[in-house]
Amino acid sequence: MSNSLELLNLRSIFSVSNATRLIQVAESLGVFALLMIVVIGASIIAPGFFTYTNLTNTLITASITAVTGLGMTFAIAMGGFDLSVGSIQVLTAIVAAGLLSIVDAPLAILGAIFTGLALGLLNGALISKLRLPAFVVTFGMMSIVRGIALLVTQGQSVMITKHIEFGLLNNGKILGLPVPFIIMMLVFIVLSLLLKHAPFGRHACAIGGNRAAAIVSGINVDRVTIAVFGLVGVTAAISGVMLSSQLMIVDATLGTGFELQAITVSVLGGTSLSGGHGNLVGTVFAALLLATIASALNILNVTAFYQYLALGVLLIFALAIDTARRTFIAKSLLSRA
Amino acid sequence: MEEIWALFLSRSESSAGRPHVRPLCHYDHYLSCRPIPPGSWPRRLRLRTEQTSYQEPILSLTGISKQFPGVKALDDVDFSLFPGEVHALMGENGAGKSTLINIISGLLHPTSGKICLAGEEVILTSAIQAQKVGISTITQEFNLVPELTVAENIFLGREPTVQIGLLDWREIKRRASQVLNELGLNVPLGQRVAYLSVGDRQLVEIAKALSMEFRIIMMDEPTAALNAAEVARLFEIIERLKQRGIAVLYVSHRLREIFEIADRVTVLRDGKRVDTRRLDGLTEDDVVTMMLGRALKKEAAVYQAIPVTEKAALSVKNLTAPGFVTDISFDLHVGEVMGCAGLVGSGRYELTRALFGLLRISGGEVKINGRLVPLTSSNDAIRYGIYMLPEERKIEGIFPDLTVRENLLISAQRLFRRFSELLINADDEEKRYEGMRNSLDIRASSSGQKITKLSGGNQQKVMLGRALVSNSRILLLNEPTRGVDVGTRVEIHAAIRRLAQGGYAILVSSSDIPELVSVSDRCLVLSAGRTKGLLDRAQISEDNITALAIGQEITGDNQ
Repeated sequence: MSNSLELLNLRSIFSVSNATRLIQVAESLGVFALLMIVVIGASIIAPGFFTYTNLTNTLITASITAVTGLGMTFAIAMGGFDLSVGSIQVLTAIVAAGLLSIVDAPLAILGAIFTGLALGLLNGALISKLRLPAFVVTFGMMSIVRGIALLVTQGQSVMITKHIEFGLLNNGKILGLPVPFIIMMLVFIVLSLLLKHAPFGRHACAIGGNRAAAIVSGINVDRVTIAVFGLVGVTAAISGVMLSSQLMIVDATLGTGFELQAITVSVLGGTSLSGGHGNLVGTVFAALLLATIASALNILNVTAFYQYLALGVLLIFALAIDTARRTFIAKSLLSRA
Repeated sequence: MEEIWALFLSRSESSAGRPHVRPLCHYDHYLSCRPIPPGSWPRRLRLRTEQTSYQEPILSLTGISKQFPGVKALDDVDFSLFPGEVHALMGENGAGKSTLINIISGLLHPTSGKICLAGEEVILTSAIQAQKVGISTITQEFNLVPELTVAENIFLGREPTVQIGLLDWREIKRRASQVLNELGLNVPLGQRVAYLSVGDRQLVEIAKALSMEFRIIMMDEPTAALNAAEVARLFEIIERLKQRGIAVLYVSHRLREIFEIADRVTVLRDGKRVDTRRLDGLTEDDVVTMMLGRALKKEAAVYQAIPVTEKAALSVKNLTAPGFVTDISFDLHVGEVMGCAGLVGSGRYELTRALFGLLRISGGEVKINGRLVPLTSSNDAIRYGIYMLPEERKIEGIFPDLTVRENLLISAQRLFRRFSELLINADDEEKRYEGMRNSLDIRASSSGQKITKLSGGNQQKVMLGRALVSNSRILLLNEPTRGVDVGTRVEIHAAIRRLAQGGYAILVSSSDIPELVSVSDRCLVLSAGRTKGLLDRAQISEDNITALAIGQEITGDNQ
């Protein structure tokens, strides 16, 4: 399945040369190696894992997580994170589903994305203008947005009955690849450009690396903060739309724990919670890893409750790796001067 | 004193747990060491010295080499430190000073070579272990907890307790005040460290080292952030440490200090030890020649009067930033370098911050090229053509995760300005970086190198480059040569003069008075947030600047 994906990513990794990127390659390869081990292991012990249908489904699940994970990587690179993505995902999924009964699919999607953007910008504005920690603001928003979702639906499910072509967002194939995967790759390419080749990404990394220096260097910290959280909102909304098209029936209890998944894939992918840099390739691999584990556990008839255990273990594992890596780098930086 | 020594020695013995190994002797060093009154010698050492009539070094390093991937940072370096001596370690950036210090403080492990402490071979594996055997390092970054008080910081991690495990506050206060009294440090014990000046923080750090009975204190650029009075106080304290038989390893770029305080100097160049010499009988030029391997262009030669235009690039009138500076007025002309002197707390840094839109201004006006401008953010300030370099490069300057090129160009990029500028043009960036690298002679292995891999001097050049690519013609430079080696210092001073000649208007705010004398056309002196004087070139001298800075009037009829 993921042959073409691996080739693409490996090439993009190996085409860079300098030492900084080498570290990043090593990090991505670490997750990649883990992913390969899990895929091979799952293929052996879980018959039915390595089938076309299952691999496609795994890829779709991974893509939904990856899209928000990619946005989250931006926020973490800037030294923050967003706990409200799960709630934003579910609200935008509901908005998309609800709008589909009134308008065409493109407009419904646009409506959902604008909802996500608005909520993200609100997050950013509260953080930068009220000088509140991202943790507090997004934690509060997590509850607020979830509450809005419950109020809007009155606790009922919303089923998509009109404009069934909306489901193509999930079932469709382009060149044999599932559409969600294509969407994820598009998000990946755009965000890669923004992170590495645009002032926006560099400023975000600068703020994450040294906030005081960013202020002194004339970086508009408030504006970048608002924009980054707006971006995270948009990615959460894209995930929401994808979720909506996957399930075709949504309710306000979906997406709990999604923020944890998004943060985990980002950190597992090699983006340090201390900020300063982001590893988007690693995020994608980590999302695939997470989806593979979930799928294998499913096939093995392990109750879904264990997936929470696996997620938590992975997060702690990823943080431990990150700490070890930083200690190593700190030591190797103590060279001559 | 003897008990402490005995304690220390027995502890190092038990922790080493191996038979006594006699260190290789370097009698030339022994001969050149000043005698210490026998009473302050450790008991066991005294026995031996009675036999040999030479004193043993408290610390001796033999044949230390350190290999980093691609670089030999230290090559067969011998070094010894005696109780009661102040030993200066000098060398240009990249000579291996930091590596040597890191090895002694346990942060790095030598590739080969031997470290002996009071005659016992030790293997230092961590900073904590180095502290346990009595080696304290006071670096530019303090290991103090800003939110805790002075007393709490001094006893952090080894607080005296009463029986049931509660803190023994009376004992903490008693012992803390005893140590502080010894140092002549007059700060309230209950003061939070966050509210102390840099100089006072450093003394708290020294107090901490003293309270732990350290035998070796390493000071890495201790005066970098201190004003003249604080430096004098620090030297008094170092003198007292000497008398107590403590060995002080002193690293500084400031030659004058070395001659004032140190007994011996070890000079490193390219990872090798050039020589270890007594300082009596050496001149500053000798040391510089040892460091560079050649004679230095004289600093004074940097200043050449250039015609300063009458055009005021920056005109400041009655500027007040509440709590920091009051009623400051001056004109900074195109082509002029204006110095700005003042003790810590004089408002020197705050003045530049206010002019860069980082401090709230409550009164007065600022005109740029005759146009009144509101300064509310650094972003605005850059748009109006003002750029400020911060005082603390590490804290407010460099982005440790970014490359040299990204660091250099960080202020040159604007966000969301035009669609065509949405993405960075890599070729264009590389070109701009190359231009700056050539004109400032930045030594980096590539534009993609991490900034933290560069020496302090080269980092500072990147900072200067950052100011230049921002398209600002008014530069406010704070401490342009802090933590920079002598060679680079001269280069930076020359660059500042060259820029002024090229039509920049430059304000150099510095605690380094010789620096101000060497680059300034005029010099503004602040004291307690107010203008104390504005010296013209003829009046600029270290004495005049110092006198005004400490609040005196200058002698003579000019003023």
